[in-house]
Amino acid sequence: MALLEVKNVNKKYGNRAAMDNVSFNVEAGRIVGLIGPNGAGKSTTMRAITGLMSYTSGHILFDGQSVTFNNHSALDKIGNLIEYPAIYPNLTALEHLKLYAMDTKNPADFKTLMKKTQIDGDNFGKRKAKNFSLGMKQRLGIAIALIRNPKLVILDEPMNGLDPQSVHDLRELIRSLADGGVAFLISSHLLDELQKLVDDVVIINHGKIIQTATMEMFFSQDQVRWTLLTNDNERALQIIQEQDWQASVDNGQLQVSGADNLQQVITAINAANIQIESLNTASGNLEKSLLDMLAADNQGE
Amino acid sequence: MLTLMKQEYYKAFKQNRLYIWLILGFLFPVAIIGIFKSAKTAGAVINLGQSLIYVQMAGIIITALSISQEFGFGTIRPLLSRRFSRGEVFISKLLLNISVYIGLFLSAFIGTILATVIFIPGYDFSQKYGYVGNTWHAILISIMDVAIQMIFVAALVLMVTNMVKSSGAAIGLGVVMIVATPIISVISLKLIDLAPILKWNPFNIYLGISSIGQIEPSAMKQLMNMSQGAMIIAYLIYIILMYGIAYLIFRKRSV
Repeated sequence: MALLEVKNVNKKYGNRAAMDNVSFNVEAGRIVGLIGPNGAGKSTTMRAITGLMSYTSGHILFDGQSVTFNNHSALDKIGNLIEYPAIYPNLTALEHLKLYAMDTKNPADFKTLMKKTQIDGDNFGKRKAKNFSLGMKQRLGIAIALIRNPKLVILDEPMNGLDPQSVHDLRELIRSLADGGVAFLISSHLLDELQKLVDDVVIINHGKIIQTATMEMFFSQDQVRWTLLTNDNERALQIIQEQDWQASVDNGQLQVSGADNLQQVITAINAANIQIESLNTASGNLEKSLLDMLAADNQGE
Repeated sequence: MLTLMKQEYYKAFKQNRLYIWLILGFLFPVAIIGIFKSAKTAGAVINLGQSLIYVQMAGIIITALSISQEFGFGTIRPLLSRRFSRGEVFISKLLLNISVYIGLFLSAFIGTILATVIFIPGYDFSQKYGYVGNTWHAILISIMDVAIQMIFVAALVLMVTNMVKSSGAAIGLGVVMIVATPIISVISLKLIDLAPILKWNPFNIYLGISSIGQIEPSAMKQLMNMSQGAMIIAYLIYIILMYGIAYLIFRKRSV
């Protein structure tokens, strides 16, 4: 049984479906990326899972227990950071942890958590949150999400405002917690970062899930692409298109896909006496794959 | 519920604002009785050095901020995405507010007693005052009177805060209810002249309740055109209704 089961959940605002038969699972120890454009229904889905919003029909089960707008008994083991960190300006970082730790009998060890989320340096723990930068608030928000030793952590744009080192450290922290059995449901627009982190992807568009897959499965559907720089890109483009492969010129480079292998492409270009100056193989790009998928979904409507 | 209360108190005690409210509540009667000659009277002592109006104002602001601030800080989401029901969260807020009101009355009371002892030496607290008894009785009635009014105004403020998610409008309305009583009274009387049924309007009932202790029951009946008992029942109904609406809005709101 999955740790979190979202089954056929619908949410309507008037005639508009904010969640349209949304179904997906999150297994213990897995990091799931909830991905989609702005307004796709990511935050709505996260709010429904955390009991902040009612849903019209369907079921949300966490650890076998139902989660609804009025039934929050299962939420004890879910930590969340949705949209922005919940910070009281007059409390210090340490006081925040003490406040939220009152919710549980077995909170995380403050010192360890503060170290892991990097809120232990520069007297950070003793300073009032009103003086925190966006990145500091974000790190505290993540610490708050983890204070109850949750089984599932829901993070909406957790990398917001973090510097590259902090993003790297957060990635390491999430991975280590996931290795210990904690599940994560993460949404982010930083797809490169997400790609380095997630095990599974759930793609949502217009409130509808259009794909759920492991990262390996997701990219196995993705076509291999080659990026070439030639001494005559225009002619090379024409030759490739004559072969019924897909090609375009992007930033002065030729993007090619659709051929069975790279040798076919090289042979065709060499036959036209065009010189290849550089060549790269690009595959498994989450951003490109997502954009293709969303474009196909939008066209289908 | 106990956890929620602990958290509410923890947050409140970590705010400088709470201490400022309480210190001002103490200093207000000390300053009034100490500075103004006209305030060195039994009337001023009974009104806790005129600090009851301060207590009411502070109570309104505290009530309005208790929920609107959670929306403002964005802390409403973690508050509501826990195992506790919204009803428990709402009640914990009410209980904290009541605790703060009690703290405000206490600080004003202590300030008044201290100021009376220092600035009105020889003041006899056992002297008879009006038809209600001695000074202690009169002080108790004054406090009860204001507390009863505060429950009504706080209900109104809480309801408006929940409707508009902003404390500004609610505080404004609450302040109007306290300082613009004569204007409300005139408007209310005009309305009742036009349609006698409007004697049941909430403002009229509020005004009637505010006058208990100042007007004898028989005169009150003549003025309000209803018995004191009927007025109290109407008052309670309005309070329950306003707290009920505030709770319903709070319970239904998606955040």
